[in-house]
Amino acid sequence: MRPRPKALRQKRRYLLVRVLPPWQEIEQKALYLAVSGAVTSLFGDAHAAEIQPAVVFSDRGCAILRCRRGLEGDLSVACATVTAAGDLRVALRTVAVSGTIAALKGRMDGWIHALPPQEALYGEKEVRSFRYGRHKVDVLQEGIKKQSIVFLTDCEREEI
Amino acid sequence: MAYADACVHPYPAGDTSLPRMALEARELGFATIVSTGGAGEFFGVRAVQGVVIGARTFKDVVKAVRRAPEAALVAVCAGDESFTRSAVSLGGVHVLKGVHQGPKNAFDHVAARTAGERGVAVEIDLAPIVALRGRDRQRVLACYADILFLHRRYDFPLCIASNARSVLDQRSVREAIGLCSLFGMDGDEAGAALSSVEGLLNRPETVRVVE
Repeated sequence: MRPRPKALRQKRRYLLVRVLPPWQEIEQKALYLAVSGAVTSLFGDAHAAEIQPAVVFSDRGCAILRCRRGLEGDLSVACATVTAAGDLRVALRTVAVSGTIAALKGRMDGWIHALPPQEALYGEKEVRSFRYGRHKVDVLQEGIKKQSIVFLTDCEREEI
Repeated sequence: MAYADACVHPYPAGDTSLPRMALEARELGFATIVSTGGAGEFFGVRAVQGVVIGARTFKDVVKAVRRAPEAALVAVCAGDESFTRSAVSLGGVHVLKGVHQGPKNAFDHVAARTAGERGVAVEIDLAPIVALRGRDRQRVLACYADILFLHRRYDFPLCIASNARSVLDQRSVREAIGLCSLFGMDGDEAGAALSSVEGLLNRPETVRVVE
């Protein structure tokens, strides 16, 4: 199919969002379904069709979303209501809005992503933990039925 | 303008420690958080002790308010019409909480006028807007729109709280303003609501009976 001439194309805006926790692997489709569901639930089908949300890129800890120009504020509010993607608890934080994907990818270059998990000693237990940012430590706790995450800082090692 | 998150619930009520919540709050644009699990200063963010009173009878509320620490921000959960009216007229109460969870007329025009006269803030809880879906969320948004209508009429303070139990529940200043725009609150009103905690803590108190 021949692409439309530039003058006839709809103008788009791209949102750079941080996906928390950044070490969790989330499929792009699961993220799209979460965002699309949040937009539809908040604004209804008619406005969701106007916004046209889409996920164009997703990597560890960040994603680029697309919407129609002028409706990026609505998409940003809808992103704030996302609480899960698939079975995983996540939060989406809008960082920047731009007219091109390249500008947002350039902005992502300086980001510090989560390091691979480390074995750490908290109290007497040896647990898996993820360090990122300057002081953030996410500790995985193995329960009887399921795994839970405890969010700490690096100065609280002894207290847990 | 120093923005404040009017209520967070750190570990052990939630899964995030207080220093981590403070660190996250700093990144999200807040200078102060009101915490139900301790106080202090972490990573340049002031954590103020918050006391949430969810008593059933007014007598229990009076007892709990007397027991509250001096520098704490005291919040009382709304109940039925008469309970809420009594709660906002009680000295030592800073915030009326959970209006959306109460009965339909939990916060009426009489309570609104009293809150305006006494400087008691009404909390806008962002957690149900984020977490609920469908009819439940519509009901909460309608309730907040009604509170906003009364706020514009009687000029009582508002405060905005994430009521986060995890870093994943905390929202940035911009997101909070965006979420508040869903029920008709404009940017200036949201800014004033986000910075009202300092004013509540420094409110001139009425005479307090200790014994």
